[in-house]
Amino acid sequence: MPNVISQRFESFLSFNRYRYLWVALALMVVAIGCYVFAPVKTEHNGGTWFGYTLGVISVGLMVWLAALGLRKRLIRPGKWSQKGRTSAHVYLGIALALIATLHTGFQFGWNVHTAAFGGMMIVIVSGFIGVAIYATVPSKLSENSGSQTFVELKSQLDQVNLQLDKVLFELDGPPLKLGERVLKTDGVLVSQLRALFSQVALPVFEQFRDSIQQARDAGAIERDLSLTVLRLTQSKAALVKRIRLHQRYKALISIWLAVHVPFTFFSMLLVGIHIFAVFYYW
Amino acid sequence: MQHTVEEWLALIPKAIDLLSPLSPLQLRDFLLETSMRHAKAGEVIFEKGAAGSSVFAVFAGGIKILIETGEDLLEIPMGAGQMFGEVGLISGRPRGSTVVSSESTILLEIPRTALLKLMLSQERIKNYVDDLVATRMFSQVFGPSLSDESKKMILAASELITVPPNQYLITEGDTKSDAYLIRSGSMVVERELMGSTVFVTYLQAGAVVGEMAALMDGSRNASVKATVKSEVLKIPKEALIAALASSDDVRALVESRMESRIQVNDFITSNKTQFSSAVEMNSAIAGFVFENGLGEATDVLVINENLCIGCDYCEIACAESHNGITLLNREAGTTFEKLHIPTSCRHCEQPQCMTECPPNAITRSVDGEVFIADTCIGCGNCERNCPYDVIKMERAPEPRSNFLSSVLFGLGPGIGHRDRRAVKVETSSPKLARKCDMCKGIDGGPACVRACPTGAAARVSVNEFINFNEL
Ligand code: HEM
Repeated sequence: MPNVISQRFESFLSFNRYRYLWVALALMVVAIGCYVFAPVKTEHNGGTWFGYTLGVISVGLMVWLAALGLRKRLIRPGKWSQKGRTSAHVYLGIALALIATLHTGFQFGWNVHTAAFGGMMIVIVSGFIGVAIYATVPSKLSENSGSQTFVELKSQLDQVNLQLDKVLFELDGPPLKLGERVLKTDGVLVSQLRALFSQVALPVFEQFRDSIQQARDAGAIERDLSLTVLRLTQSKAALVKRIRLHQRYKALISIWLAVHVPFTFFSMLLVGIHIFAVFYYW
Repeated sequence: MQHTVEEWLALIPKAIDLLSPLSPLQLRDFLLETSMRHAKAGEVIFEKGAAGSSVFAVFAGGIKILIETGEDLLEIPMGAGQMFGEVGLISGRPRGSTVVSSESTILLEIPRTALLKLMLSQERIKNYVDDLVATRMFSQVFGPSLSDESKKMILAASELITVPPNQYLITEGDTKSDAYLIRSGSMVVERELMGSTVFVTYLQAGAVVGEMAALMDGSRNASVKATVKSEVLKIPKEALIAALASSDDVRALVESRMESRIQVNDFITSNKTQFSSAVEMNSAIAGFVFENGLGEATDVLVINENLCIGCDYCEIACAESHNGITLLNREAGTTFEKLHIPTSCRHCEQPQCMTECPPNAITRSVDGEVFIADTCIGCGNCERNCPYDVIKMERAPEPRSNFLSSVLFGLGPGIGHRDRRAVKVETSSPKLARKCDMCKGIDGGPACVRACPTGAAARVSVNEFINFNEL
């Protein structure tokens, strides 16, 4: 990207000169310092006055982090920036991982308390994965589709299919069978999961091309026809690959949220039970 | 002063030259579209840099135009009958200088569209305004010392030429030696360097090109191409030389400007290997900018594809800010080097959408956005006239259901009416023209930019696109 213009953009990670990274780091340093030096009578756990403080901060942070989903959708006038909010969400989310860990005093066990912690950590870890995806996948997506949109890619594929359908008429035997499979092969995948895991370079295209070449060598089809078929197959293989990659990247960008968001609700429920248990069994 | 309407109709054309060719009936029609305004002595009529889309004529009293020349502040007085603010005719261009009334003054304020309409129907008025605009541009280009006689002389000698978009006005290496004043539109200057065409600079209306060859008897050292349909005044070499001979100040001004241009040229030539990649890059950007009509844009939404996750919250935010109708299509549009220009209004300098709007509902606000007012009658002219396909005719959608129930439980039309098929429209509401208004009047500015979670969306002006600070 041209330098001059790229300076106009600032990603959520570097928002406001990494403002929230510094805030989070400061918070973490203070938390560690207090953990080491706090005059706690017994060993550290959630039940000391210091533990309670960390617990309250953690719950507060968690509710605030979860509120991102609502705030993002509540689009109102004002000087807010969603980029700034994402930035704060990411860095303070990391701070939460540490603060909540200190809150546990490293007292883990097979109980609802540790379950609440675990649920929260799943959200946080998936958040990291999300950031990694946001940082890497968009540029791949852009390179893959070039200046074309998904709709344009699809209509190009339709065009190629139309032409392929016409020339298949002139084939017979194994090339025809393979050709029909090639024709039916669809670039567009219905579900995100399939898009994530299905192949992008399909063997059927290679097989078809081999069979056409063989048929040509054996004199079964004309040179011109074989060239047309090979060219069309080549285009189709390339298009299918691009379309599937496009869908894969799109799926990657959203599928981590399928862990992040449900576990947000789930871990908030567990944290609720954890708090209830603490006070009920006091 | 108490006058009857008839008396006013007799007084106005007498005081204001511009209107003298009009019959009383035409005058009456025209005046209905204008407004009279009184200014106390010392009152600011408009400030430099403000956006304006009207032209003024002094009916009685006087004003002064304040022009900054280096350190000095120059005052150009104007009395009854004279016109000012003609830059308002070029939509989107900010005011070039501040104007203050020097005494108690009565002004006729003429909206841009009213004057343009008048110019279309009245040849004499068109010539009057054209000459006025050209003369004012001469003063800007040659400095305030240029005498009135010289201006008249140049004007008489020069010829108005229309240059279609992408056509060359000047070709590098050519030996023709006239100079040109760009009256409207804009141009790019290019040079051939190491076998490729390199973008040198971008010129807007009011600039002069080609005077170097005219004064130095050389061949053209750069090409000049129109980016949009442009009008230029061809100033013959002899007229230019005569004008320079008439005043030392004028000569000094033009020569110093030429010197700095020669320096830039030398710089590019002598550093071409070192700077070739930067120059190439800038040329490529410039090419992209102008091919996509961004040369006309004053402000455009640009998406950085390295950051865009395709979540479409820009579209959703747009819909949320405009009664549920999104005025932006993120995916459509063009892409260059990972810069994506989605289909959304560019707020052109010369908006073609404005040209045939019967109720004059499309205007430019003081901040520069082109917007469609509520007086839209839904005729669809603007939709057809827009070269960039950014205007849509749409009915108002049904209001959204409760925020929480739609976000948490997906009830009713959701935020941004994402799935348009699911949205019921108010069939009773008329289909009206809708387009990006840059979130005019919405606190915080363009919602598309604010709502982007990753920082991929930004509003960029053309000048930022082709910025030569790097060189
Ligand atoms: C317990 C802690 C956390 C909670 C409860 C939480 C919750 C949420 C919620 C509810 C959303 C909104 C999803 C949507 O509306 O699309 C979200 C988005 C997101 N979260 Fe978290 N999150 C937490 C921690 C983290 C951490 C530690 C990171 C990064 C390291 C992170 C990164 C993100 C990102 C990148 C998004 C997407 C933003 C967007 O596309 O608008 N989260 N999170």
